[in-house]
Amino acid sequence: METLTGAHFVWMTIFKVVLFFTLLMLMVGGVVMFERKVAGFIQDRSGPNRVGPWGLLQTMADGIKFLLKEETYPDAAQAVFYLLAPVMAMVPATILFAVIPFASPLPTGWGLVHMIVADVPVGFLYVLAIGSFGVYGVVMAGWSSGSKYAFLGGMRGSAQMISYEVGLALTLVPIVLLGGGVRIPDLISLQQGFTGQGPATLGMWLFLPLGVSFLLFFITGLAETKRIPFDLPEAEAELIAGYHTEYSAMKFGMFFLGEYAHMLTTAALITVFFLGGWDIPFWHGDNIRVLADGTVIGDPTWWKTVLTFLSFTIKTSLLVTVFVWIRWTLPRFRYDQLMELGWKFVIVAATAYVFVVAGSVLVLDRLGVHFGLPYAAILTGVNVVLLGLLLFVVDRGRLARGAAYTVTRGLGRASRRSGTGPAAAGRS
Amino acid sequence: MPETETLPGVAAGELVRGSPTPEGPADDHPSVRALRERFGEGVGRTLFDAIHVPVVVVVPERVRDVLEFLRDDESQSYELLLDVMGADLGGGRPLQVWYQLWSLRHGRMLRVVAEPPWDDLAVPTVTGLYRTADWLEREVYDMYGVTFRGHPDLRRILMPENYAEGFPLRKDFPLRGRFSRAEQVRRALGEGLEDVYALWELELAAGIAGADRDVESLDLPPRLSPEDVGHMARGLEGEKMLINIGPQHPATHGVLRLVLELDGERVVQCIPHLGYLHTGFEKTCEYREWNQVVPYTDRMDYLAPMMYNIGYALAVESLLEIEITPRCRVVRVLLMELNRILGHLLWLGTTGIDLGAFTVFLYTFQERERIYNLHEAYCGGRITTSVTRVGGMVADLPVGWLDAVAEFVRTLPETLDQVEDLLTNNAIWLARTEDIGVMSAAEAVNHGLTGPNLRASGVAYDVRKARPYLGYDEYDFDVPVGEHGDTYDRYMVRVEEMRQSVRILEQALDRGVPDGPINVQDRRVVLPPKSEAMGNIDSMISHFKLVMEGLQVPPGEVWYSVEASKGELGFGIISDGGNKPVRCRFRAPSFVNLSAISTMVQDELVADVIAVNASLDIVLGEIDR
Repeated sequence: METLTGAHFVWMTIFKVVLFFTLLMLMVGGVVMFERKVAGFIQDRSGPNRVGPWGLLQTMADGIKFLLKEETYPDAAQAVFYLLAPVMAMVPATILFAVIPFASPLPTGWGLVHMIVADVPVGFLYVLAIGSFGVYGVVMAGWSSGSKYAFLGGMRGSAQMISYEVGLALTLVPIVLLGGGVRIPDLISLQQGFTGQGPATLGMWLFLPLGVSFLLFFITGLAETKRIPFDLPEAEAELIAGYHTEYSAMKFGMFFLGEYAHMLTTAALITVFFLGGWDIPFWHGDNIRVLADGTVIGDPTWWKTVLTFLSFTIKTSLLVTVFVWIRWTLPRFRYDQLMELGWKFVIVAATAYVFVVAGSVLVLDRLGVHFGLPYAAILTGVNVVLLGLLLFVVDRGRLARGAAYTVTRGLGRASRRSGTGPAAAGRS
Repeated sequence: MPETETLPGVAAGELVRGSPTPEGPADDHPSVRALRERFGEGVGRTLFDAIHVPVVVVVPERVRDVLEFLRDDESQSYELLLDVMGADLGGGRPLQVWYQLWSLRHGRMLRVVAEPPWDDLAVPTVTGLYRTADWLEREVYDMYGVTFRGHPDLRRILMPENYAEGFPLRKDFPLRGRFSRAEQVRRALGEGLEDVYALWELELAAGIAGADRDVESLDLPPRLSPEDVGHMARGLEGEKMLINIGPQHPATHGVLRLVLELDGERVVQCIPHLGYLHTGFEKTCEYREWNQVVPYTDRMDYLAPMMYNIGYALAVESLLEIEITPRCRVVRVLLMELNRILGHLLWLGTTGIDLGAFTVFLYTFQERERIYNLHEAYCGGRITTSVTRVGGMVADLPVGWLDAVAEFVRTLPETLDQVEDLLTNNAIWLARTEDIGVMSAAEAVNHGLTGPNLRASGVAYDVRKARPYLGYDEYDFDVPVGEHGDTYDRYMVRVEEMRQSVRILEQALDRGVPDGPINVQDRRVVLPPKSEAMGNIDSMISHFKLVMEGLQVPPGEVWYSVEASKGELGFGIISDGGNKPVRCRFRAPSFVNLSAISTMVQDELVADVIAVNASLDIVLGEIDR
């Protein structure tokens, strides 16, 4: 079956843009609702339950509230940038979604329709480029508001996003090393098992052979979404609301939507890069790919599109759940600690990891290991070792065993066990 | 301020215990005798107050020397200045300034009193000896107009700096103020720079602005000439930023304003600004009968209200020299410890929020809600409880209440475990709290810190152990202490204190609350039951007298303290035999603890200011009073 061409392609693309944008906004609403419900569950309370059945319409009510509230304009604000900032915050997060494939191609009467808005040849370089735009919204909002809290928030935000941008890009280099390209649909093929026609593939989701990348990408992705523990640009206990302190009504709403859209996008990206995208595990029926010359391998059907879409949604939702879970569990970093984590850990580790993966690829190729499951299995072994080193040598086991027991002071904290310490004299 | 890290004479973690006051007249007390020997004529009359604490009146000029001797002499070692308070006894008698001292090493309490004459209201400052005297002396200056000679920063502290009506706690100051209501409102809503900002703040801002602008063009505050600004501007390197944390800010736990001078995110200077909630409780209490003071007390520390209720009742009962019933003692211990948990839980939750751990807040608030339910079941009120009356309680325990307490006590440790799971070993939590806002033991004592804040620095001083009241010496509990005096230790100490409170509650419940009346059977103090008052002429007369004239407390003075959740809560009370206190001073632990914040956050980051401020566990109700 041929892929779409000509006028059909244009019409179908317009249709997809409208459909997926609507879908994304609905999903953002859903994620907001979901986060509040999960937060309620974690915190042993009900969460929203007043508007609509089980409070499901709460997000809608909030949206209406955003639209109807008074728009305020601080006297000290720089009008143009002040108004532009929310747009700049929301747009990049939204258009990032354009390059994410979220189901297997759909056969139609006019040809094969790719379930991706824009299959751009620059692939995830687009993700990095557009992702960097997000920082402008933060900087503009912080600077143009004419408020010191917003200013500090903007400063923190820009420093944080730029720092983690570097780490984010570096964590994706190993994928290029394995995949040999940056087109995103190719990455999904890479993680599915193909034999025969076309380039060889690994057949294993990349979170195993590139475990360290997965971990680092997860951390940097979390930092890019500016959520706890990385929510310093907002840090409500310190900076009220950080860079969007002076925004009200829908202008605030756009920051808010942007933030959740960003979370969703990050989850989708992790899915695509490391969790096989729309691939259904342990089933080869969904292994469908379109080669560069237009040859379709595999057997696309409409029900496979539905199933793979479900698979993609489930993976993304699980990641969103993890994001939410983290937010309602952890405290917040301090500014300098965040920068230290970014510059002294993530970037260093990611750079070193690029070399390790490159070296492993070189060695494996020289040894003539078949580029497929054995290749992936060996890389997985390397990554397990590296993760062990990271957790127990670099991190001294703080993440794994709890920090209080491994920090320099050791166990003998008098405050912990006063009863056995010198204060035991206090027994009467 | 002593430069040494450790506190001489007090081993880290060694429990501070009070020693019994020797029998005989006050002059035989070792400290009094030493003072007499050394200062001769400088020492005037001496006496014991209602709880047998020696009181020494000294010549105002010698106050600093006397306190220096008392602090530094090995045989005295009064390291902790608990309170500086003023007292206007009225009737033309001289104004008194009290210095309440406590020796951690010898476990002794002493009060030094200066009586400066009305035509020269001045005493030398002791800020050079005790950093804690800074704010305490400012408060006395603010309220009584006593000049502390040599004080580095003698400004009003609770009243606005440009307050022009005089000194509110003097007896000649009318309860409603000197100016008309309209004038007061006009001044309160003033839009001028001086009405809104403190003078030092305007000066600082002018200095910063002058760094890169033409000095002549600035709108200068009145005290400042362009030359001054130019001078200050030259002293500033790079551009600094002034930022207000508060008075409306999510992390100040009330209407506190911290003005931060920032270099980037680093704090160059932190200046707290108080008084937004000042309502003059101490003044009001002088116009209320003894029992009518009770409702004012719980509005100060509204996070652990019964601490104040019970502490106040104990203080007045010590003046009356009455012994409360055994049942009342146990009930008060139960309520005290429940409120300690209540206060600490709030602290834990809000500190969690301040550092980003929101879930902790909801876990702790669920438990607080259960304590509030117990409050409600007992007295009807949840936050403003007003449970005590002089000589007893507002009511006897309702049926089934003790079972509810037992159920609470049984399940609280589970929640504490959950919270500890979230925080104690959390790498981010440790990074945010360890070595942040460190106070060494010597510094902490010099700053007058008390309660968990002091114990986190390794000084095991707990009023419940040092000067047991309500029979706390009959309970088996530990005093948790920290090693490093940082924010993490303050966290650990408080969590452990809650567990110790649970132990006390368990013991009290296991032994059972003694039967018998809850109020003393003294008709001078407590109203007779209605049935008696209606049927018996004697009871009716005492009912009538108590209702019409109020409770009469014999003349005397006392400075009585209890261990509240936030530190040592002191009540300086003077009675002239009437039905109202002549002076009712509340030594609010938060007030003194907060005064250390400027030192603690020096050169830390903005985020640490929030962490340190949270770790001090302040409540603005009692700071501003």
